[in-house]
Amino acid sequence: MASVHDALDPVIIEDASYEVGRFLRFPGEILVKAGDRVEPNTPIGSASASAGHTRTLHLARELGVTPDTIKRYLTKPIGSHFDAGEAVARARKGLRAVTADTPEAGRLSDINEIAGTATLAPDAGTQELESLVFGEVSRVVDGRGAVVRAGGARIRGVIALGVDSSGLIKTAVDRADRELTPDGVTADLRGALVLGGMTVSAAAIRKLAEVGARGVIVGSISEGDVRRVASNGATEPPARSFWQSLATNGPLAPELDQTGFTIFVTEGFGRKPMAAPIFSFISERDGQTASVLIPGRERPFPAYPLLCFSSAGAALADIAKPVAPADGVLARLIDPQHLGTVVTCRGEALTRQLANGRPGAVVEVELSNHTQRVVPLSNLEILRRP
Amino acid sequence: MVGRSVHMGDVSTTEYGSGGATVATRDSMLILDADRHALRALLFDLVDGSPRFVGEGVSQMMTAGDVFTQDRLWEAVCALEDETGRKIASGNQILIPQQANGDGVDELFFTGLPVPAGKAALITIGNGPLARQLVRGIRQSPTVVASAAEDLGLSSTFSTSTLGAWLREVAPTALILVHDGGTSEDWDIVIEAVADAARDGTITTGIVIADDAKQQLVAQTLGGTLELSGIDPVDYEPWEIAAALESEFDEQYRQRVEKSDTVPAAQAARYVDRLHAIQSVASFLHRRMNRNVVSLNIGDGALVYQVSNRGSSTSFRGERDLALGARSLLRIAPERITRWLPYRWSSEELTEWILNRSLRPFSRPDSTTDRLVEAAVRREFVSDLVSDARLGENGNLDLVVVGPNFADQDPGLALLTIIDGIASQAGEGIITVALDAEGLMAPIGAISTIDPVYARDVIDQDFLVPMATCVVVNGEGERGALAVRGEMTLSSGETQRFSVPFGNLHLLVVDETQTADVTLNPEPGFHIGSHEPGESVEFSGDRTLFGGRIGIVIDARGRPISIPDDPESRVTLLRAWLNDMGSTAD
Repeated sequence: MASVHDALDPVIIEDASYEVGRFLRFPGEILVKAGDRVEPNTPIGSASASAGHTRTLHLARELGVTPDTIKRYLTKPIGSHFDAGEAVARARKGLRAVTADTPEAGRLSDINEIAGTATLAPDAGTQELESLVFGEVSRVVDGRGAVVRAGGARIRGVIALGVDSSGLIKTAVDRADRELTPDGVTADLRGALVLGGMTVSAAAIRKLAEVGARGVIVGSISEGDVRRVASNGATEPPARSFWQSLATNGPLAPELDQTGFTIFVTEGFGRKPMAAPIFSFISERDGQTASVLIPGRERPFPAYPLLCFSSAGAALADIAKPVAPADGVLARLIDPQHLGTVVTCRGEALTRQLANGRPGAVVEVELSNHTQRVVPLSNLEILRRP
Repeated sequence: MVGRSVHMGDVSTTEYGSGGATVATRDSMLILDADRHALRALLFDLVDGSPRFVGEGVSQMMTAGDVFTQDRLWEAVCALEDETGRKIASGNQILIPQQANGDGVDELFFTGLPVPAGKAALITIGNGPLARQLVRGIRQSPTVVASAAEDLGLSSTFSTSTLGAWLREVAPTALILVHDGGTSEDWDIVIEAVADAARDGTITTGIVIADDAKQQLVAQTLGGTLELSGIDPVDYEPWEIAAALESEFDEQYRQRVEKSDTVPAAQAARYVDRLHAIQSVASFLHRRMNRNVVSLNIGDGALVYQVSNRGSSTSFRGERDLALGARSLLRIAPERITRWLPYRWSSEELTEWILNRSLRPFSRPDSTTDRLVEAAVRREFVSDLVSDARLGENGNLDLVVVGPNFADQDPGLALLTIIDGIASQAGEGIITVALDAEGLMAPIGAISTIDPVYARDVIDQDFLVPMATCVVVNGEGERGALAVRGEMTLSSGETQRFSVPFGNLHLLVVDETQTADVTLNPEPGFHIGSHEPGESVEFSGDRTLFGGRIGIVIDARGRPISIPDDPESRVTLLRAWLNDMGSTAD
């Protein structure tokens, strides 16, 4: 079998331009056009989630009561405002209280005692989408967003939980394999994107949110801690049900969107050190402004988040090019057992018979202890251009 | 690069092309097999007068979201040209027909799943059986179907918000609404939830299976948003509706392929979708070998096709696999998977393993630990697939053909995952496992649509690699007590006696070039297939057992396979099974 060996998009890009997608969560108005120069606070578009429609809440049905009695079960009078998830009506069924909740925030405008329903006028929740990077609009996707050519440096993560964010980088640990503990969280991290090293616990994340940090950048995070943070003090949900939406097509930990806090992960789940070159690259930029951009559904799963250090004018730099494995190229391993292990390529990719008897693309790499091994190309990510 | 060494040495006749190799110049076929993992260009040609598989060029997707483009097509074709030394294309065109100098090919096919499978959501009101039949019908087409009843456990009690959230997660392009016994109020709620989802979602078409009045209700609310069609279930049998949906989704997929940007590069190609191509080859194997065949393919999605004297069925799960669909593995209860690991692992460790695999979908196991975890995952994954496909309902399976993805493991471990995964289906006692090592099933199936004889000859020459023949000794006893004694005589005349305790596996090393006469004498309480307990069974003459890459396995673990709850005993036993199969946990 002959196989074509792809060059790989490096994890770290520096002094080059790169494209980022800036898309609304729902259709709206796009305020930029191709060729426009944008700055981090330039509005790209805005959208209203619910403008112009009402939602019918089937209160009698959800409470199990007769339609003409629903008025007596309302928790607040008609005209009141309800937050998303708040009980609009409540009834007792034996020892249990049954509630009918509103799925989105809005004002209760009417009830229908024949149908047993209530009408909710949802808040016209708007999304104002900003560029968050310096750059130039490459193209516009009508009603959805724009692709911006930014320039400077950027790091590709593997997963980000929460919302797009920006802030000054502040380094809170001294090593890539060090965990950021609650003790290490101090008030001066307010407004910062905190470089947290290997990992961070749910307790430390809560403390970071308390002091007003915008987000944390870590090598890895345990899935249990994600569940603990998302549960917000309540009993954490079991892993199977928590990650269920991911098993269908849902977002990762949507509960974190509500907190406004961002967790940017460079390696994966578990307790894996951040790749040392990534840690160094970010810590060298301590005090600089960075933005975390989380792709939405415009990209197929898994779409990777970016940590961008863009600068005015850098969008004109040459577009970053893929890098093929070659002697001296810095890379990392991504198979679960060796996740995040930093290696140096010791040659180009070549086709060799694998253990299963089939040919496959492999690369010879050298580990930090100077031992060499041959790994499948598919288990390798190039960290940066030499 | 390492080229294929097979076949080329047998080639003779005309010298051609820049490569200077000598190959036959007639009846050559190029098959382009594309999905979200790779684009392969496979060449078949006459070698010494017989149709053979000659070579393959691959353009591999390296990251999730890579798309199948014309560039990738030409990369794969160029790789094939490098591989075979033949000129297949000129400029941006495949040379058809084959020319006097040997360049080009006579036929061009396109198969695989070149555009992602369609996505449909099925919402049923009521508890009638129609929904299950419809889901099975749609899963015979290249469509990912999500069922509200399966995902939400709902049948007659819906809440608008739950349903709305589910539709946003599923993000279907097509919607099937079925009224099968629910109330009018339920119907109203569903319409409302769908209207919400359709307003800012991805749904473009809707099929309503309900009486005329309810169809009208849907049309009033959604007619301006969705392209709707309706079926009144009173007028048709459920199987007819299921067949109609299968055809509809097949056609929708075909149209998407034809509209995609990549096909113009292969305008002269005949397109045969992967499902139908594989069905064609498995059915051929069933007819030719008179065996009940199940084909198990896990690659870009998972496909199970089984055919026996009682009929055939397909189950395609485009959202489930070990790469881009790895996140679907989170649906499997972690303890079902960790029980297969020959060491202690927590549910959290397994969840993180699956999450990491989902994030790097094309990474491969490169350590013993990862290989064993993947094998454990695969066992339960296969078990769910065969259960979904309801294999047990359609006769006893005796030939399992697995796709190349199973060759990624070491052979003993791969065999264990297969026989453990389909364990409950081994009712008659013997299962032959064969490997489609080169992934030729769909390409051969495509060829068979115009030249069945050509396809047959390739099947005979190049298709399947025998992995093992597995004889299941059924019954119950104390673990470690003798279950069966036996004697094997190889075709070379060599004889070997053996005994297998209950709960153990025993591997008889018989390579794929040999057969073996085997006599088995089960202890009282143990039996082979439908034979009486304690009855001796002789496999000789036309029932002689075939060897394989692994050999012949006497599986005295009984059915269902029991794994001790005690962690120490479990680890010891699983390690012993690996050891029995020539594999290792260290």
